[in-house]
Amino acid sequence: MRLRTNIILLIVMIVMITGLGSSLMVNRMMHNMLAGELNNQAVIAARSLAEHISHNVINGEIIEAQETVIKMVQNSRSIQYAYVIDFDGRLFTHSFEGGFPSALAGEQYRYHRPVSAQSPVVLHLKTDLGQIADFGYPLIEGMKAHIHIGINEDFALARITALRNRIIGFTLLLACIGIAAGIFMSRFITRPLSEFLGAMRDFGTRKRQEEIDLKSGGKEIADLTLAFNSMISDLKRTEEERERLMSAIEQAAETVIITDIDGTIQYVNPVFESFTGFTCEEVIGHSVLVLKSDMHDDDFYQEMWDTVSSGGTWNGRFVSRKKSGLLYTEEVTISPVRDSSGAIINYVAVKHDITENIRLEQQYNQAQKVESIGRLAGGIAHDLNNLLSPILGYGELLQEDLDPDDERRKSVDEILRAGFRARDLVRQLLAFSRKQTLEYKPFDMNEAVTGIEKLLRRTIREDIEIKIFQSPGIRMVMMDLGQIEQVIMNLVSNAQDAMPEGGRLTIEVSEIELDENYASRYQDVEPGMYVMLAVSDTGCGMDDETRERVFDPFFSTKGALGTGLGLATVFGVVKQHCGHIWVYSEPGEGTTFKVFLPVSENKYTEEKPVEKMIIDLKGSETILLVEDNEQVRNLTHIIIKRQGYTVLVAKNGEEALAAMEAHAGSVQLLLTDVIMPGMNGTELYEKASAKDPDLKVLFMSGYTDNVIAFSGVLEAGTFFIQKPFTSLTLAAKIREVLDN
Amino acid sequence: MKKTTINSEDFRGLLSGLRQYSLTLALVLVIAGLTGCDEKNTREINLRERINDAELVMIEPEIEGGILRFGFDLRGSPDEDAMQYLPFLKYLEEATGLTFELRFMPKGNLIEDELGSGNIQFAALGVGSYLQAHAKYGVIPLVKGLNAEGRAEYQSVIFVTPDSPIRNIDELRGKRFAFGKRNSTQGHLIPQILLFEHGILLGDLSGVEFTGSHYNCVNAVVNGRFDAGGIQDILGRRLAEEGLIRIIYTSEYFPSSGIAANRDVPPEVIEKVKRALIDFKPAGAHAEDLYHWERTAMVNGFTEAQDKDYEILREWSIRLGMLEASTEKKTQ
Ligand SMILES: Nc1ncnc2c1ncn2[C@@H]1O[C@H](COP(=O)(O)OP(=O)(O)OP(=O)(O)O)[C@@H](O)[C@H]1O
Ligand SMILES: [Mg+2]
Repeated sequence: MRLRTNIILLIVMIVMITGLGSSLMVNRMMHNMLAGELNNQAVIAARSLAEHISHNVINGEIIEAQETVIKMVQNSRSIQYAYVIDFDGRLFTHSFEGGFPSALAGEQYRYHRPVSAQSPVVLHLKTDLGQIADFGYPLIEGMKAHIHIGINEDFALARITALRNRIIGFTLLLACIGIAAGIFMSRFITRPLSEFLGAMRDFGTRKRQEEIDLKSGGKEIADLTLAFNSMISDLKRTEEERERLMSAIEQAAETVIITDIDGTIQYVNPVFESFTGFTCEEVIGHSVLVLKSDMHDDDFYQEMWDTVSSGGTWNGRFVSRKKSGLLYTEEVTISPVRDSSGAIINYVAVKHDITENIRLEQQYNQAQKVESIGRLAGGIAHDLNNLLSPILGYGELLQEDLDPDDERRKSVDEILRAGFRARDLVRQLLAFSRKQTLEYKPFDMNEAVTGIEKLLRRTIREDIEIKIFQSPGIRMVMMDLGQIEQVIMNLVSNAQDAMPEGGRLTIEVSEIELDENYASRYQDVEPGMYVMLAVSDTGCGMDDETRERVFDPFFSTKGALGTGLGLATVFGVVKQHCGHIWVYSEPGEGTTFKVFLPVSENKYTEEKPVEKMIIDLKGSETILLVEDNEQVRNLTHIIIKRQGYTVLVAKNGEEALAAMEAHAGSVQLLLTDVIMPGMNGTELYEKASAKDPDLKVLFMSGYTDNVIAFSGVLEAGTFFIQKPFTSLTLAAKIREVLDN
Repeated sequence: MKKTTINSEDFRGLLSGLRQYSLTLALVLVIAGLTGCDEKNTREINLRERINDAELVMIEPEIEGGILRFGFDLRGSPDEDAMQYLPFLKYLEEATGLTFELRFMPKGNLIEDELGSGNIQFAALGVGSYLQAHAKYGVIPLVKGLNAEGRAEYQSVIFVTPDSPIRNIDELRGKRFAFGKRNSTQGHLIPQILLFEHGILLGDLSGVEFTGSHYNCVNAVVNGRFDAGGIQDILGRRLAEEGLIRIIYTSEYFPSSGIAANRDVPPEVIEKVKRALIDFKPAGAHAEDLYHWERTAMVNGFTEAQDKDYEILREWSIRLGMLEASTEKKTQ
């Protein structure tokens, strides 16, 4: 609208100015020209008149002078009149018919006297005859006599006026044309412009996304449209790019924070919101300090700030605070964002929560630690077992040989008791080091708890209330019952220790699902159905430091009263069952241990085989004994020989096969160690049974890496005896195998 | 609602537009105004009311008092003569503190009559005119003009055309002879004296004419209307140098003509003017303001004149019948 008004006004102004200006100029020029022209005409007329009549005036020749004057007036269109004043100042002659005008006879002609021809005096008279310029001119330069010539300007003035009017008319016409042109131009300029403006407004308010197509308006508008369209497509491209980047940032798993150079938050992505619990409204416009934890000192933040503000990228970890106050560790990259001039305008922090990673890392470290100590303990246990075997074996033999009344019998009993204690200790070592050989059977956890309940109630102090919650009908767990009982015992005994003033002990069994989410947080958990065994107490609880170390072998807060192997054993057993253990404790509030064991497909307990009462442990069969440890070999030889068996003895696999070959009769049982130099027990059995398919086998083992390597489980139907064993246990086991 | 908004916007646009152009507009108006103001101050008069010539004569011009009219005979064109004499009068005004007005003598009016009658107060008179005026009106001689040689005398020359066979005055008998003005000393009196001295009376000539001026006289001879003529010596010598005429005889020196005053002019004014005239140095201090003063008969200014200086010429005038002897008594 304004542009249109302006165009019209401008045109009108220009036309008016030029028109008026030119008319004024012409008017003025014409007037000047006229004045000059008239002046010239008058001067010429006056000079020639003076020349002609100066003699007449000197000589007083009035008639002649009058003739000349009248002739001159008649011959000129513009000379209205002329009159002559003589040397005495009297009117000498004039051209007027019918008398001299009285108006001119007055003071006019007496005072109106020219000084010289160079400056004739001009009087402008408005008369009934028209506009008259009266020129006074000396008759003779320097003398009193002079001539007056009246020039009628009307004729010339009329021409000038006509010309001026024509110019003014023309100007008005031009002004009208200008207005018309303005309106016309507004059609061609302002309408496309306002259309264009509308389009731009629409674009601004995002009502419009497409390009403009203006049909009118000429080249400039077309160019403008073109430029605008290319701007739109540029903008669209930029917008799309921006959106792409935006969605990348918004959908990224990483937390993204953008701050200005003062550290005021300008943007956070949705992950930030969901992760920290802060909404973007709560943090945008605030300092990043809201996320700061107290876990780092000022120097740490200063170093980080120095790095980024000097243009560098900072990489590292720090602990931040969620809205809930929870601390979490992040892997952070902070980089400065520069504008085109290179000045830093923003900082972008891309953060990744690694709390979980750290936890997994710790878990892994824990496992590694247990593993390495376990290996050490396993090695010792193996040697101890071999040492304990003759102690217990010969002790038993001695005990058998001595009369019950014999004084030495007591001493032998003490030796055996200490030996059994030592054996149990070694078993525990093997358990946490997961190097004992386990006998897995599908078992109901409820029953395992029930089985041990009586023992618990007997052993746990009176001031502790025991509560057991069971879940009947849950699925089976493949477990080594003895080991699981050990786990329960260890957890319960710890709970008792934690409640010196008494309290409540709760044992709970249930079937639960550990989902993907839970599984992802623990290195050792596969998602699936588990049977949970939870042991809780209301005791003293643990601080964080203690809790982190409870599964460490030999970690104990109980001084000489504790070995620190209890929970290490639990951990080892659970791991060997492919299970998972979880602890929750608050100092002063109590502790809960939860053991998760994967369910087995078998739901119900198989019919328990009726225990055969083995009454007669003696036999006459031939037994091939293979054992690399001499003491164990000799002891075992004595035990089985006493039971009446024929015994072939071998140090290793090769010898055993050779002995079998050399023996005339058949061999019924192969009693072999699992781990031996050269051929191991399993290989030996394969080869021997190839010769005699009816050959039965009983494996003896302290522990065996190889068995573990074979998944730690002997094939079903395979018989096995744990070293060190008693002579009774061995005799019974041999009978069991042979009679099977 | 929306429509009114647009309208008011439009209106505001127009206003702001006007404001924007107001300076230009003002400029235009100012220019127009200036042009309008350029009108000359015009007097409105009525030319229809007339008075007849009789009434007109009744309207006497305001006579400016104390003006001394100084008369000269017209020699060349009025403009040219005015140019010569006006600076001279200006000198006199400055020297005396009096006011002078230049007057040329109307044709037919004799300068001696004008001076004698008091129409003019001073006049430059030829010797003949002076003798007449003195005789008739008792005009008072003031100064005599000094010629180029600084003498208060002048001559006349008798001339012919350069190709004329006439060699001397004696050959003029029976020829046609042209004079200047009748009352001119150099143009008439002296040439007639010369003819008379050579025994030639006017009757001995085949034709005589008073041409009215020295120039007319030269023209009459050069045109061939006359065989010879007599004019003043300075003009004669100049024209002879230009080769227009040939001088066949030059007269002796006679006292030059000069300036005389009407006898009613107060003696102190006469004295003042005489003093100024004697002090006039046309070739010296005052040369600058003058216009071709050398063409006058008073090239070197003036010297004091007495009536008795003109005694010889007065006698010749009487002898030649130009002056009545009886009138002479009047002046003394
Ligand atoms: N239920 C519990 N309440 C509080 N502390 C416990 C609990 N269970 C274990 N602990 C802590 O864990 C440590 C390690 O336990 P662990 O069973 O491995 O060894 P111990 O009990 O000290 O010794 P031992 O089992 O040989 O008697 C304990 O010393 C104790 O500090
Ligand atoms: Mg314990």
